[in-house]
Amino acid sequence: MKLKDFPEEELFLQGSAACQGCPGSAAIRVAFKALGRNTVLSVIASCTSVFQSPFPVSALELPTLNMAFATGGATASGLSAAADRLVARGVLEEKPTILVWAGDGGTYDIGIQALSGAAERNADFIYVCYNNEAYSNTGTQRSGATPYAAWTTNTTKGKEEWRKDVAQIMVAHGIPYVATASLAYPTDMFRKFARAKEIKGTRYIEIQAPCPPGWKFPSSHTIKVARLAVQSGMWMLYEHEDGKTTYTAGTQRIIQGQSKLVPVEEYLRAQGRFGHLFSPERDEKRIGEIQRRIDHVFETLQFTHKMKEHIMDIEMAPPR
Amino acid sequence: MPKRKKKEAEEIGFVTTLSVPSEGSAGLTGSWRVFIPVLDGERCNKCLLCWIYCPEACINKDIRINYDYCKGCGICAEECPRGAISMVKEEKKQ
Ligand SMILES: Cc1ncc(C[n+]2csc(CCOP(=O)(O)OP(=O)(O)O)c2C)c(N)n1
Ligand code: SF4
Ligand code: SF4
Ligand code: SF4
Ligand SMILES: [Mg+2]
Repeated sequence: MKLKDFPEEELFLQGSAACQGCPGSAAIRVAFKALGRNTVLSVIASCTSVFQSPFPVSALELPTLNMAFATGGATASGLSAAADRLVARGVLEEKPTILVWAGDGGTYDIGIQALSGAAERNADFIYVCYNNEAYSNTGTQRSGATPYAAWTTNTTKGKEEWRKDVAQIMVAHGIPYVATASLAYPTDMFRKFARAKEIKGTRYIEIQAPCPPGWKFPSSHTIKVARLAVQSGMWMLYEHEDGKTTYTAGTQRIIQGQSKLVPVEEYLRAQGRFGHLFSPERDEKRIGEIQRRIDHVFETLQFTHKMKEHIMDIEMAPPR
Repeated sequence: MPKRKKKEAEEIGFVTTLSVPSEGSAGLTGSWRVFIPVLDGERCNKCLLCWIYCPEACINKDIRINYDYCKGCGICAEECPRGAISMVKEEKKQ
């Protein structure tokens, strides 16, 4: 869908308590436009809990429950079962979309057990992780989603471990739909939410959410950093359905050779949380390690793409 | 307190923990601004990028900015492909 066809109605109300340039509210706007009014939310402890509702007012137009950290998968399973009953009894005409909105801390670390259980039962809801790669609300502590070498308040010289990949863990659950999204590609994100809405069962969407105070970049650069993440291969855009992964938008263009990978250095340099890789002196070793991992992934994907095209050429060739 | 909450208090004698949706849940967030986005309507081709990128929903589809709530983050100016928005230092309101 083109931007001009996006619904005008705002289900996120301006004048919220989110920081200037917040990726959380930016993501909510696009998601809500795609999902529409007939949606019920379970918001898991995170920045969103805070900017969503300073009592007695709320910045969200949708019915919202503020839930405890570990409970995303469980509360949504319950909401979904309750909605099914209300439909069966004729109280509701149409089942609302049940939506969990959780941070990376609430997904990668604390909520993964409930999420995994619900996914295995194929409970009927959409789970969104907006991934700002740290516990931002409590002042930027490391999470399982924090990337290698990134500064947080408890990885002051840069994180020593590599991040895990919950979107791929959800693919391994065999659920009907998994997608990743980026703030810089709103039409791609909108389409993925609209697609997820049509499907029944557990659906997982993860949005990378560059956070100005946590990642230490100016508030005007939220979208720019999100775009660089995709262009450099640090964040990959895809959707997974029926056992098949399809790469989309910027990531697809790199794999198909229409655009080149931007050196990861450009992405790292745009953020203060990687500042120690460049001053007082350049950390060739760690920058190289990050670049090599990206190169390996894309070399494989580009090779597979070329092979497929080659096979198609052979199949399409007229018989001799 | 929003009208709906006042009514609730009158009707049932106490206030429930339910919040009600309202613009300006954190007050007039326009007061957070240091730089203010200024639109040059001549240059704008209504591509709607600033509309969808504004994290605060302060720009409407006619590309009018609501200065009551615009926090001055600068994303609209940074992302406008036509350079139609500039961030200008705002004189402090008294
Ligand atoms: C059981 C429990 N422990 C700690 C907290 C405090 N807490 C609230 S939000 C938050 C950070 C959440 O991080 P994340 O899920 O990544 O969301 P973000 O704040 O980054 O948006 C923490 C630690 C809590 N609410 N409940
Ligand atoms: S800390 Fe980051 S995610 Fe949290 S409200 Fe601020 S900008 Fe948004
Ligand atoms: S981004 Fe620029 S050109 Fe596009 S609608 Fe906004 S002001 Fe106009
Ligand atoms: S400065 Fe930020 S808050 Fe204000 S209109 Fe532009 S994008 Fe929206
Ligand atoms: Mg987080």
